[in-house]
Amino acid sequence: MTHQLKAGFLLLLSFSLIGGCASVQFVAPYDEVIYEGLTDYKGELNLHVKNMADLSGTPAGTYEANQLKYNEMETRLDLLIDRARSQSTGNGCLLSPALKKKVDSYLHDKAPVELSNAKSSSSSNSYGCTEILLVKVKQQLADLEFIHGNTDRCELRASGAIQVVEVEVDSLAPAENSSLDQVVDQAVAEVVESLRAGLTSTLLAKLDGVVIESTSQPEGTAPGERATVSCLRPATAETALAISNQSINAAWVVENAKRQGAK
Amino acid sequence: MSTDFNKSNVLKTMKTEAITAFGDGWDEIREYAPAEFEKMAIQIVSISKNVALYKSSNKRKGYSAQTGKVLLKMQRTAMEGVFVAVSALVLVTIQRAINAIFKVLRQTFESALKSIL
Repeated sequence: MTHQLKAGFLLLLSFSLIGGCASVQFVAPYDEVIYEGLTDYKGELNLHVKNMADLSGTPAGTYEANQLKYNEMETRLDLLIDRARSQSTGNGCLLSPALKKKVDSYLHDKAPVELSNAKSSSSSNSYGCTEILLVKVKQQLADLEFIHGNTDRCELRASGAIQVVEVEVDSLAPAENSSLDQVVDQAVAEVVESLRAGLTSTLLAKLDGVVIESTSQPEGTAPGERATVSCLRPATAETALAISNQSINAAWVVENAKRQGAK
Repeated sequence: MSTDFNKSNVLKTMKTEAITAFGDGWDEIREYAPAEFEKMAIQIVSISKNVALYKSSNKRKGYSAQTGKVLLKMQRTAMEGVFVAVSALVLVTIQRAINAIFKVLRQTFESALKSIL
């Protein structure tokens, strides 16, 4: 393959020399905004997924509590895709004939649609490759969001954080002519009442390994069945992150190669 | 002119620069693709193990078959991305090599090529 490509390279070079062309441009130029945007997105996604794994089974780790974060990350990717699209020549991501043949022989009919439908010519370019790579990163985010909201379930547990009970200041205002003891008693009663209210709404709390069962059966669960919430299970988070990072790295490695060439 | 502008010298310069330019690029591609394929293999095995663990641990560990199915779809998307990246890297490398050679030709045979490069 190396010899074929070197021969092709020399042919291209000769062609360029004859044509008097000073430099060639097969790929969209290096774009710092896309490079930096991908780096930022990778950091944001990794942090989010790790947080979700730590918060799995708590109200803060549910899909419903984090839907806006997905919107935020999706929007960030949409902006990068739009930018890449504006630089594309509209020819998609074309492969050289030799490489396309090799890929086809490996994948047979399982080749991705973009590759099987791609036109191939000796003047192939990759102006549209960045756009395709970014679209794939977005697809991974959509699949991760789907898992979080639909396929992963975790048993409900407490967040582990100490719950702060807020008591309105007005309710603690001492009645006229009340003694200090009465004021303290009233405050304690208010706090105890608030704690009791908080505990009844807590279905199942695991604090330091001690399981506190709720007094009533959670809604929508059969007797003896534990309540579950949407989540990203730690094992899912680990696998999904490794796969998502592969897609991000695929886009990043191309931008980085362009960056090296632009120096 | 510092170097004689003849076919032999031009070819020698081109060959020397081609080895350098292609060498770096091909090493990157040669290392990138196999490393990514190895990661894919590890992840596919991990998915099947986690689905089995979910069943054997009464849903306490691993993840469900439904989640495993979506993760496999994600793995396929990642594989497509790696193929697209490799094809793009080939073009980036060729572009880099050609432009590097032109740069050296321009520097080496400046006065002879000034009018066309």
